[in-house]
Amino acid sequence: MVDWSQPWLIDDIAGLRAALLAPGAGGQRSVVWRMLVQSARRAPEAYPWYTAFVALITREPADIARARQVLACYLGKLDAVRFTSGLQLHFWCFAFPHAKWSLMFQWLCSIGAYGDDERRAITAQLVSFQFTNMHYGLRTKPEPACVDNQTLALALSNALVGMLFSGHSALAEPLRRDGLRRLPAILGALPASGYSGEGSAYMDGVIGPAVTLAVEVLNRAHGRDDGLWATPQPGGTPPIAALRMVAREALPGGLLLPWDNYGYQFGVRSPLAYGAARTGEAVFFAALASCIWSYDIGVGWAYDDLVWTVIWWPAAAAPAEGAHGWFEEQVGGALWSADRQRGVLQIWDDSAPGIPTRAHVNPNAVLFHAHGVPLSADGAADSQGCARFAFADTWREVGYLSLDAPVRYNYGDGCGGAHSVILFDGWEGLRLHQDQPQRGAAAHAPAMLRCDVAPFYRESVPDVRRVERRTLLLDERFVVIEDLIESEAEHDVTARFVLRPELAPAPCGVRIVTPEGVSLQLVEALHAATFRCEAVAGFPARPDGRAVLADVVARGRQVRWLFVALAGPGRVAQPLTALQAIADPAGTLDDAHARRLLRASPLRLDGQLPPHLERDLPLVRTWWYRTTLRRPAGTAWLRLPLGLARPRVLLDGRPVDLAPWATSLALLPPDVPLPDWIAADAAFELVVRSDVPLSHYEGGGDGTLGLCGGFALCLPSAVEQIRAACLADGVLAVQTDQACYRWPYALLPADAPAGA
Amino acid sequence: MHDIAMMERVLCDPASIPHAAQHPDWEVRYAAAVAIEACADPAWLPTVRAMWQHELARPDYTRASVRFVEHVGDTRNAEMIGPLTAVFPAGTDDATRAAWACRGRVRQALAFAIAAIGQCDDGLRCMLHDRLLAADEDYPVKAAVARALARVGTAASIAPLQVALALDEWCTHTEAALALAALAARSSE
Repeated sequence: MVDWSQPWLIDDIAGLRAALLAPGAGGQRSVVWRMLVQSARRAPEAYPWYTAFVALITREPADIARARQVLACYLGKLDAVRFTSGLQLHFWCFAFPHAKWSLMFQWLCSIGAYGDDERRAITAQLVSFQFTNMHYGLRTKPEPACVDNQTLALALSNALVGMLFSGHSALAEPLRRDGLRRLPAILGALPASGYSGEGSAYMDGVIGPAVTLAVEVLNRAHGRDDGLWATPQPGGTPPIAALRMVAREALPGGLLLPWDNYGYQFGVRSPLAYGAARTGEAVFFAALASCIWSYDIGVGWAYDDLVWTVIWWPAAAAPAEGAHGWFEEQVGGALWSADRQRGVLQIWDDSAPGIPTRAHVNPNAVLFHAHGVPLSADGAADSQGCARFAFADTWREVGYLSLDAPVRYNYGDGCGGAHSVILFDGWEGLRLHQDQPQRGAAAHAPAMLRCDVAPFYRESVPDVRRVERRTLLLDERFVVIEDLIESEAEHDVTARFVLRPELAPAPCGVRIVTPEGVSLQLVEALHAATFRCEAVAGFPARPDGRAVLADVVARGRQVRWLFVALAGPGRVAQPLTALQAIADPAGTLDDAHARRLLRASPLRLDGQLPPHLERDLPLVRTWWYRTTLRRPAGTAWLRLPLGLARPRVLLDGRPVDLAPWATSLALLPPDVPLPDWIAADAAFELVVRSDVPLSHYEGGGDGTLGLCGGFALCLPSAVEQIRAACLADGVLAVQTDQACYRWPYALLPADAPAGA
Repeated sequence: MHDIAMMERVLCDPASIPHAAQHPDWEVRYAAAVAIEACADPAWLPTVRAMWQHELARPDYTRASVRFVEHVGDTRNAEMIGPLTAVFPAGTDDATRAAWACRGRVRQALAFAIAAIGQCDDGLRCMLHDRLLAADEDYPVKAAVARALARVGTAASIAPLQVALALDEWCTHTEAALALAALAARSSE
């Protein structure tokens, strides 16, 4: 039975309290703890998920009173929740939060926040709601066939609530029994890679946070401490595999792998902190170093990610060796330079047969990433849909998403044509109709990934023998991609690359330059093949709401290409700090009034976090910043913080049109070019207005981002461009405008298996 | 507040199942069905049949029509810790409200009880088939019925299971496929 005198699932509450409450404590954990306290105290109704933990640590009566009020509010809505389509149709979303409120109730009980009668009444309410809704929900999921984020959330919530109230309520016993029976089976049935196949959104939002808590629950249930590495069932997958995959999905810059319907998004932190603390592995520390701390996202539909991050923060420093890449035979791999400034991913995870809405069709898709910025486009169409990928035979109407009318949508954006893959005979709606093997042999070596995905294509192209792609990272800078396609009959074969805008002039091949100034040039070296480029509107929704398709097409029974890609660095940033700042409590200041107040303001902020989190400042939605600087000669940009909301930017009082960054500023900091009317070496004034979130929930369930990253003046950096690339006499030669690079290179042997 | 004490009691004391099975509170009846499943005793089949008939006689839950004050959407309601008020159409009686909250929960638990007992007469089996064929039945009920038919189905169950197999809902489809495989295995024994 759980000891209700100690907060459950926290190893060392005395040590944790001492660390967090120590005067002068520094470091990122202290920053996050301060954010939790500030939020819980100033707006407990807006940041309810922090209140119980803050009360547990501080034990101050006012903090306890706030937490009690929040829990009372939660309990008060349960009767009405029973009638929502959410609970009735998406009960797993309610399971995890309910389990967490049950746990936080126990934490509060451990510090004497409730009397015996209150405790009994609340216990009855929590456990009976779990019994009739979440236990029912768990039993809806076929056992053992169903292994996904929903069932994991349901099994964990039942195990957690069942263990918590075991001995206090007979209703807890079936919860405990079924939860503890199914939880190891679900964990162990995850693929050996640890990747559930549901994309980053569910790996980060549910699987990772559930795995950490599941390990802690199972360790306690079975009196062990090695659950992270142990296989929950014979031949099963140890939970550490799923945690590693969560960390591997984190890209430098803070975004996640965009391989599902949600595309690029920011990641969670608590599984990374847990992995770093428990394993000391570099991959967790590398991912933790890229986190966006002003991002608030539900983990398992609960906004307590930062709470668990603080609890599990690693005591040890990051290991000296870096995280250079990864390889999973069933999934794909990544190649990163030592400084993680340049990288490429080659993905061959299975897609869902029939209707690929979540696990997209991406056999051997490549994704380029450099200088903290994504260069490939992936994800889903925007809310208006994307006509380019709305194929006639990919419409779907379902009745179980709503209690009212059926929901109709097009899943063409999950098909092959919307991904950087090989296409046959122009079929962009590429997808499987039957469950079948989707790949052949995969292999890797330092700086090399290789996979044959011909099995995927055989359903639609029965005579295909080989669709192999090999990716290399040479000199930590050049990406080389070789495609070898072999079939019995001739086919029109397309190598498609889906890139971020904008197309830019190039000496050869195709070149894009993102709004952040990072460039990618792609050249074909065997045939000097010409790219056919097409702008696509409405896909993906983020970051740009559009994409560039760069296709190379050939016809034959054997088609081979050798692509060379070179990413150019972003701009050189000179940080701007200590900007004058003012709060705008009503959010109604006009430009002139704001500028007058700013000039007289003694308050200085860096824009690294929303002001009320950066300093001891009031909770105000609208803030203005001001600084003056001198324009350098030539082209220059002002880099604004990430996460601006309702922004307004003034240069010497003139407004700047921010429409070009309307969608991208949700994921990437905007670089605003300095206009020509500011003369070289002239001083000018920068004024920026932004709203900041005042609640967990402002992102509408998709995460809430507060401004971060600060301001900078950016200058152009030299970009090396490829002039020519060719393969001759076993040497791949790339001539750039700066140097000639030569590497011994052997083409993939024809008719040889990939694993050879 | 629901009769949680009675729910607790029926899980601990099978002797209270007959009383709980007829309780006006659907949550108690749900607990009674779970208790019958735990007993897995064919002696409870008449009780299961009576409970099933009672569930079928309740108001239709498939056309629930509730508005909410401070409603924020399906999954966001899980995350939001704020007030929520359900507003029912005028004239909605308590029985209808209870049916809308319960939906297919008791039916699902009864199907699992039949599966655990592993026996079933033709009348009860027909009731199971009807649920698979009912166009507007909730999928948790259909999936549970399919699972029960894996244990108690006969050749007559194949046609309704094939209807369920064709549904575009993963749990139902999966349970139907497993049930058909189980029936095929039994017929080849």
